[in-house]
Amino acid sequence: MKKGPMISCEEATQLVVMKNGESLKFYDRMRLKVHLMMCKYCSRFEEQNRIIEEQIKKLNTVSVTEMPDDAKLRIESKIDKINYPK
Amino acid sequence: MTEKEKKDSKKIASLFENYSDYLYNYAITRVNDVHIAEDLVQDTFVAAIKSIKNFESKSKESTWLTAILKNKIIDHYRKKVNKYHQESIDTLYNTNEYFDERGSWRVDQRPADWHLGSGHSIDQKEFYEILQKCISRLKELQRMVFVMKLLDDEDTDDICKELKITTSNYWVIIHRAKLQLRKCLEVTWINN
Repeated sequence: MKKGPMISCEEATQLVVMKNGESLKFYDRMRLKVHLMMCKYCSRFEEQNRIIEEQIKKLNTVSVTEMPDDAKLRIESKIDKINYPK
Repeated sequence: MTEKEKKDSKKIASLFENYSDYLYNYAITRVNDVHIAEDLVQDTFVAAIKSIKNFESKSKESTWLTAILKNKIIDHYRKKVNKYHQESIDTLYNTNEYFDERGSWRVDQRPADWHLGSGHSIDQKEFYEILQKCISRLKELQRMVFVMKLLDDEDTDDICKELKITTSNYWVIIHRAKLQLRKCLEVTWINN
């Protein structure tokens, strides 16, 4: 990333993505803040990134796709044949 | 069949009835292939039968089964990772689709207003279906990085080690994946 105070949208969105996982350097945090103040698209990106991160965790608890019945039958017949440990 | 075997087999049958959908959903979110997801769930129950002795001491059935499945998924990822070459990683870096030469948003890629005011709830099944679909459209390595970080909350260093990528590769892959996922959600969910 270049050294000047102004960064591009591409760089700003990269910093947004890194922000939660890694502690950004003070200078990068400032550059991001300045960019977000001026750029409504990157501000939206930041907000939407937050929503995505929040919602994605719920995929672990919300059942979206059920197992097809034929797959269940295949697995049941397979595990029926397995010998249980003594 | 001994009494013990009968009891164990009844136990497994009830675990299968209660958790097969949950485990399948868990697997399909992470591997995006119905056959592989089926195999992983099957392997999970085979492993569960073999270690059913250990189960008695465990407290929660779903936690125990999910832990087995999670290990199977990581094994699957490891096999995949060994097939990757540097050039396939390079294509995951490209953000030209989203930004012009100066690094500004291309006009047709600019994030739209999602109109999600405070209090607006997105707890709808439809949203999660679309989210799952959008994740499935990520390239394999992107999806692996994404799933390990955002769904499983794994440590960044561990992810890099497991998937054999550098930390800077990691951030670029996450960046690219986020851009793609955001766009996919906007097109398929928000605009609907």
